[in-house]
Amino acid sequence: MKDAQLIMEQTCRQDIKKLCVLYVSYVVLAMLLTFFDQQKFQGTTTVTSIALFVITFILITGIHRKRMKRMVSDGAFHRILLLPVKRTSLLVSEFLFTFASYAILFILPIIVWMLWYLNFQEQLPQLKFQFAIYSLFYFFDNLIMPFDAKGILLFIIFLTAATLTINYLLLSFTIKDRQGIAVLFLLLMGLVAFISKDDVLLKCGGYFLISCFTVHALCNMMRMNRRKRS
Amino acid sequence: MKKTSIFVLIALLMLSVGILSSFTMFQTMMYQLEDVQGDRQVLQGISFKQPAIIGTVSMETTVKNGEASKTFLRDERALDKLSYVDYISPSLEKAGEPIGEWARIEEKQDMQTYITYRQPVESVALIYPFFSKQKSVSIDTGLIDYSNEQYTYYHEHTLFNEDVESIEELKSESGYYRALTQEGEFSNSPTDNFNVLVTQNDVDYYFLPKTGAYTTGVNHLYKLRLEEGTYEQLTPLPEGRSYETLVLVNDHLIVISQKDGTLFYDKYDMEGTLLGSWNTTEPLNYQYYSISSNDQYMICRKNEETLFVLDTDKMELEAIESVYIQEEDGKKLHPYFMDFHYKDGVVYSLAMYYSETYVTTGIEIIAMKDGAVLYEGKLDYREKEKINNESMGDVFHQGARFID
Repeated sequence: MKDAQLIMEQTCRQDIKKLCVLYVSYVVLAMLLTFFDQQKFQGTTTVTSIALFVITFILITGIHRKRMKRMVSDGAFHRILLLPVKRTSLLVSEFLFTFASYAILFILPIIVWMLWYLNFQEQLPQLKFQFAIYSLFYFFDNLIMPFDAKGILLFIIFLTAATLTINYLLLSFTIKDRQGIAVLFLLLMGLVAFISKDDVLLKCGGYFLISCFTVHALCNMMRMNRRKRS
Repeated sequence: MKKTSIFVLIALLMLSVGILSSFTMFQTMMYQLEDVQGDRQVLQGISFKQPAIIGTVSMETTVKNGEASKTFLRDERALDKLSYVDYISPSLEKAGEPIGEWARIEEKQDMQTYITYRQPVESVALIYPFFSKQKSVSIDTGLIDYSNEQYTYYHEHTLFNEDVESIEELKSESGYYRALTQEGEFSNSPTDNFNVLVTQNDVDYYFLPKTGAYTTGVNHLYKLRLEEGTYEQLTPLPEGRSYETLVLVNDHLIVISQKDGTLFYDKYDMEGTLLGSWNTTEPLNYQYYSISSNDQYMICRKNEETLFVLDTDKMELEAIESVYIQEEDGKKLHPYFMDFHYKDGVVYSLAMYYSETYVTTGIEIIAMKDGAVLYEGKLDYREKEKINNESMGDVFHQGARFID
């Protein structure tokens, strides 16, 4: 874990500032959107807030992609592979940082909603459910704002599976290795969300399996690369 | 501590707080039973549930012995089955000759023109189609309903943005039949069937075709097996009556019919054998939607102010109780009764009261005995959110029901 912390400090430190700027921009923009639209609030905010969320998600993934590219181009990635540390250290550091970045993003809508609601609860009590439900539930299929133990489990497993899949995707595309499998994992993520629409436990199982496969594939990839380098 | 470690820790902290706050928010979003008058002790042994759909989540509030609890579910499987059981529509077929000429009616709707050709007919045959997932079954009741001064049956063809060369062309096509009043509205004819299909186990269904004063033929009780696509004609019912409603009470079927303003309550077993009968001695303002049952009791609205309880074991009148009427600013509110329950001489009712502007009081439970209110309680959101028509899209209430 110490190795992972050390590697994370070396590789991810510069990106924290960018991520923080993104988060603050998201909150400010989302607040402005809800503020301008508070009187009608009939769906335009829903679409724009979802769009804002998706754009922020893509931008965060872009930051991670850039970091990965930078790591490979300046040789840091290969140097870390040759270091006398556990081969999973790099994976753990990558996972923790990416997971943290996405976790904050997924929590931001709830923070925005709470800030917004604290401001307007007196004037517009009837909008309480509307915001929470229309902007969050419909598009994310109950992933955000879990309301029971099963929901919390699904939320965490989904976030883990999504982070691992994106890690694998970015890594394989950066070092140009096994891109096909990476895309397959991404499709599987979508498939699980689509097929097991109403069954939370089935969904949890699907995401858990994807997580296991991805971890296995990531470890394999690292081992092969390490062998190649040494 | 390293910068990145702090970042990860903050993220994990935010994740926990976010999840927990969302969890807590949903937990606090619930109905609570608030006392308006009386002692809540009277609700001991009484349970009822109130399903509501909030967005894509369904929340079911259960009140047991006066204490409210709730469950959240992601889909609507938990909600009461609101299927074809509630409303049955017959497919009408030609039985009598035309009694008028074809008329052409043009109607513009949503930028489209609909042209209807309509011819009044003397009578129609009442045939009831039923569909299940696998099979379909059609019951030819042998009943004929005649056009009369209240409603007329029409043979119709509706064309979409086009016309036909001649009426002769239409005659060769089948078209459809329906009953309309003289003003062109849908009528209260045997084609409007509510509460005529009941089931105990979702396998065997019992069906009573609705008839009116202008229906001829012998009516029967039917037993349907929808999954197999079969039906059985159980027993012929007395002629000369208008059959209204079928109710399942304590493993018995109660057939409600009327003749000259007198209501007949006939009790049959599940094989269609008549076991007993009771009838009103005075004409009632009959309201089909206000019939409930629990144990051996059947609770029916008599008129605006009163209801009565029928003991179906003895087929005797058990009690007569007054209906609780609420007022707001000196004006009577319109009650909508969702369910009744009778226990130990007390009539419990679940109701919503509407003002003229359709703002409701919320769901109320009222316990009454001998014309006196023993208890009145209100189910309301903890946040005191007013539920009116505008917000019905967000929180959609299903009817509250007593649980036996």
